[in-house]
Amino acid sequence: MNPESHEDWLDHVSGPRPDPAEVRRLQSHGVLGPAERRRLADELALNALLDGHRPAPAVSSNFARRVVSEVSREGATARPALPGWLGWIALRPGRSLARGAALAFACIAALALLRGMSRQGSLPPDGATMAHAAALPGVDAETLSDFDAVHRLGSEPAPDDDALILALAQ
Amino acid sequence: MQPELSDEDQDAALMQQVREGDLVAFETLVERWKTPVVHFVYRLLPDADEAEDLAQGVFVQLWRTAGRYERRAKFSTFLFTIARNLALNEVRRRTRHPADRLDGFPGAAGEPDADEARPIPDPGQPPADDLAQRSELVAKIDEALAALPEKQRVALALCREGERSYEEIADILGTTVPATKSLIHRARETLKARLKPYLASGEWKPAP
Repeated sequence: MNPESHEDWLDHVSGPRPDPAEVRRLQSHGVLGPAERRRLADELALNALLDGHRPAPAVSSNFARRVVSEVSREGATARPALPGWLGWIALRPGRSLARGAALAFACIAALALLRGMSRQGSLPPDGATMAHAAALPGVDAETLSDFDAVHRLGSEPAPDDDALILALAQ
Repeated sequence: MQPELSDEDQDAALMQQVREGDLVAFETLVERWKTPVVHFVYRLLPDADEAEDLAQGVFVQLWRTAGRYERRAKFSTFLFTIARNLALNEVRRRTRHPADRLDGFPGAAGEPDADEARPIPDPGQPPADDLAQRSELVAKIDEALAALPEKQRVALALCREGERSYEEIADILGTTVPATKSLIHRARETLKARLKPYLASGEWKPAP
């Protein structure tokens, strides 16, 4: 009988850093069946290939100094980014003025856009709407002078006159 | 007497100082984590110089994004997420432009020719035949790893390097633990199929 859950031992052996004692236990007689023992041998062999085919390189002793120099070169006085939008307007003397100006410009542009949109609601109807209204039967010059009335006429298709006459005749 | 901080707590405390612009704390963090990061990158870009260059970029990025670090997240997860992203970008760039190498890498323009720079063999080394077989095996494994889908490759690299749990690997990959196990399992199945002739006890076994 195989007392091991297949998934558990496989996860362990093929997962991050299997415990050598546990591996030895799995390899010992009677813990796994013959097919699973072969599987275990394959998994361990693959681990050996993956970990041993290229010995990990030694890291240069001046690595950290090089990183710090790089960071310092980018701006010795610079602080790491603050979270979210606070980071964007970080209090850095050299950049804060330009960023402030950009932010002010963006606010003014947004305000102007909003104002333009609200004004658009009170603008007189455009030329196409006026032409459409003038072509409608029964629309006189007085109606056309009332821009709001023209605007409400909309652009739906004109009623079918023949169908209307037939309907009235019935 | 104050209780000793765990490694995780020390990293979190150092990161807090880094957020405030402390370069000394930053250097300490780099010293603590340089080896795992270089080794992880080396698994995806198997060249020691390039791996160091890219790992340097990982730490520079860590400095730049320190403000986004939140203490409730494990520091190593934050760091390896950056490493994963940069390494993947480089792998993708290589796929698009195979001839390109990172700046300053030996063999790049102006550097001595790779053959000229090669050291003279040590007489104590194994015979040339063994070396040839060994380098063939290394090439086969590299080839098999390079052919894996990106996510499987990164999951496997994270799994084989360092002390990360399935949970942490899942966090770094932005996926679930079952999905992570599945990625690793599929990668290993593909590799076992491709490397079958070499699998006997993990050594070079030439086909008969």
